Amino acid sequence: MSIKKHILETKSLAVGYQQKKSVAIIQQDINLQLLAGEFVTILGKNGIGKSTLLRTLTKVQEQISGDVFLQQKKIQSYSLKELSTTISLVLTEKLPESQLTVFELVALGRQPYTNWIGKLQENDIERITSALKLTETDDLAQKHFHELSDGQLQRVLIARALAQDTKIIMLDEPTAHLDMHHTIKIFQLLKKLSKETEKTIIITTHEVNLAINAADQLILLTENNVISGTKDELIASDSFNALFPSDIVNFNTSLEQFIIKKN
Amino acid sequence: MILQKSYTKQFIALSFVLVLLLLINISFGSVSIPFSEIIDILLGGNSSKSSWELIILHFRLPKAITAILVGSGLAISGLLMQTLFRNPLAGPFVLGISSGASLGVALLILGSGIFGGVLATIAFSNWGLAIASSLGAALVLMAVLVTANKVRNTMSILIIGLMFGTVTSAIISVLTFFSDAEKIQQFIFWSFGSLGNLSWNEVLVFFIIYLVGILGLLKVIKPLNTFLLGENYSKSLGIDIKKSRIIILLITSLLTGVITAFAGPIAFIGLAVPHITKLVFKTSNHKTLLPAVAILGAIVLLVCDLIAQLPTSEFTLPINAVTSLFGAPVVIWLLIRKKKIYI
Repeated sequence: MSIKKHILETKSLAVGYQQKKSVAIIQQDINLQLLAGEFVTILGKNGIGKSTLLRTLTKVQEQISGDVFLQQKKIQSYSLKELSTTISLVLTEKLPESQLTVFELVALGRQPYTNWIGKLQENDIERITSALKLTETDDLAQKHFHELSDGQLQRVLIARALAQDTKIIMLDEPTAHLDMHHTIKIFQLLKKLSKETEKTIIITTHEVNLAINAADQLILLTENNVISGTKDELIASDSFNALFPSDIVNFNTSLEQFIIKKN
Repeated sequence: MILQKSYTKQFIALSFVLVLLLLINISFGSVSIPFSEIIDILLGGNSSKSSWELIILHFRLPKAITAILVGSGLAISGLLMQTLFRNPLAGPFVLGISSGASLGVALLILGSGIFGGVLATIAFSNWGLAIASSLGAALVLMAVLVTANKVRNTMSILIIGLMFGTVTSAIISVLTFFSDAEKIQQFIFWSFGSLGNLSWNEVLVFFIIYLVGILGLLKVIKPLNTFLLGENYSKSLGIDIKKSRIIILLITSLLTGVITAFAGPIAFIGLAVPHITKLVFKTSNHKTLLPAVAILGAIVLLVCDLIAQLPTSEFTLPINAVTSLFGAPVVIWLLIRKKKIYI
């Protein structure tokens, strides 16, 4: 086995909220090892801690205990600026209304690299145009972003993250508002990007069946623990059925899919 | 592919209009002076009447410059607040700065009636008013900055600013209640706003403080643009939100503080000019917007001042009334035509 360095690693990580007197732990004993170029999906039911985990992995939120390592370095030792050139984000929150064009929006991804006034150099423009091309949004460049459909906007936000030129891109429910067609397109795009750009792409999602088939590595958040592995490993350990209560959906091993239980 | 729009043409046109309006503004007043004489005086030549020279150099010119500083400063502050709070209704006075300044002036003018003594002598000098309103503005500014450091949510700062405004207004009401008519009238005259009456020394002090605020802007152009995506994205782009927020609040307070100190609480410009600019320029990029609102703010206030002078008449309307009377319909018209408003 060739020794590949982990781009992101957690050791006995516990995530949750520090309250005034007590600590609310949402998930603990999380041990992840993610490689460059991997497409990783975080799965789990509502309220199980997907967003909390994502926030902890991006230093938006402090961990309760344990460690997060980015390129073998503790995440606490990263400055905001260093972090901005290592991890980029695509969030679920709505963008405030403004008159930014698609090009300007994507160009904001170059902020960590530009001078005090944000002047774009040739290299920056190259990165922006290649990000627009990779996400097939180059024909939208001059539109205002508020004119876009949800599917287009999602691709533009991914282009912005690409332009930020980070080793890791994290996306919080990138297909939340999309129909089946556009959902599948986003999954294909993310998978393609992880292979072509060697970036580690981590998403949280409720599209379990798509995730199972597309992801290089899955992270399952269940009531009892956090398990990660490839599809085959997780099928072998029969881990998928722990994802949801068994009364409505079940994992079908031969179809490699969740199916609705028939009465 | 054209990557970024260039606005050079618009800027040249606006600058031209600004210079033109500056000349027109200086040309009109209760005393009519031939235009050729005005140019001569401005260029340092001698005028056939020394009183004309006095009027132009010591009255109209400082007033026009004050109008430019006030208009651009208020417009910039308004833009900063709208972006920081991501709220199109925010203006330079949302932080309660002008209420603070009003409180300072009210304490001085109305207090001089109630407490008498030294206050009374200070109350009638320009400097006295300027210092009182600066102190009032600074007091509210400090309160806002302290709370801004404590609360994490930017929206809370907006509401806290409004609360400070309410409290200071209430104190002013109480003071008014115990004051005699003459003092109340003096205070009301101050609250009408005034661009004139500033000596060159005062204009200089005004300009220096204004310049400090403008220089501060250089530090926040990048953060302002990332704020357009919301604070979480901003942070993920490496922006220190708390620090940028404090700098933006400081610049706004400094500008609105000094403007209110020297020209009184001038309404409308700070809220409306950023919107007019965004409708005209159709951009949200602060690299374009900041200089654009500054020039447009100056233009709008020069026009308002021109209207306030009621050319060829001896009367001067309160500038505060003109900015609102003239400006509000313009904004309503623009919005009805364009239908949409952005931060």
